[in-house]
Amino acid sequence: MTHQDRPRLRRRDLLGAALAAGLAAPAVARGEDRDAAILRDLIAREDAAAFAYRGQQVPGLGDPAAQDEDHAKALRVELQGLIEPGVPRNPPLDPAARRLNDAGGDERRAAALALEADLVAQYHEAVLGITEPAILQTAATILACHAQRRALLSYPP
Amino acid sequence: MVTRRAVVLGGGAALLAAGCGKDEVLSPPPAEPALLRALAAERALGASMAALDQPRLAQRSRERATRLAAELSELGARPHDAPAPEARADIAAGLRRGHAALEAYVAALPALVTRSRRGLGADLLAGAAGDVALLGNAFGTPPADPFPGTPS
Repeated sequence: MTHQDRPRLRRRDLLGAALAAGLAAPAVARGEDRDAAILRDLIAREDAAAFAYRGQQVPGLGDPAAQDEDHAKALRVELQGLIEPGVPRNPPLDPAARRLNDAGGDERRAAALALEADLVAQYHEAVLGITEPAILQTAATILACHAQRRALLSYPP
Repeated sequence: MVTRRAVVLGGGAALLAAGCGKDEVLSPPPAEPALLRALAAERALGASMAALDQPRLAQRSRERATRLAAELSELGARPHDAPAPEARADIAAGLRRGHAALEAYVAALPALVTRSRRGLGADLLAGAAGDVALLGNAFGTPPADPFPGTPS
């Protein structure tokens, strides 16, 4: 290497380092985007579940509508932490929530079990994809809540 | 006078600084200590379930402990380092152990970075949560916490 070559190589190194730093930032942003997308889906599910449980008496579950409202509230706080626009309240009901909403009599318990099993599956998948530890732990505790309801509905007293 | 070198240095520094701060990527904690804590908590819960004469729940707890021990062995850790405490037929103590187990699973998840390990953690959390609910329900204490396993 000649003395004249050296400055050009240094510039190249610097530009390379700067480019690497510039590439790392979008990777973090992609993680946040993914977390935000997951949160939006979960909030919509919780809003729908709260709506479906409201007015439905499912023995052995306490007040699942109030719990699901708490879940949605906690998830909205996490979403706001990512400086993301919120999710409109009262989105359309997903099929499992609609089934519970429309259920009557003996069908309620089966519909609630199907909804809880579906929510456990969705939270399980969400937990695999979330990158931010605080969001992950919030989602994990909600997964645990839905898993508890699923168990109580699967094994009646 | 501003040299070309100064411009390049300044630009590089600015780009590097832009990548710092809030977006800093931290490496996750190691999985072994988190899994060992979860195993100890699961063994304690299983002992309580057995003492409370809940054989099906105790059996499923043992199955979760076995999966945890296998994962720890695969990581090169020693599952025997997780203690297996005695238990009395005390439902309040059993439920406290249940909460501790859920807390351990929730706390472990960020350390489980591969998809298969994260999936294992989620499976174990969901299974333990369901069985803790059934344990409480069997003794007239159904779960009421919307966020079970929240670290205290």
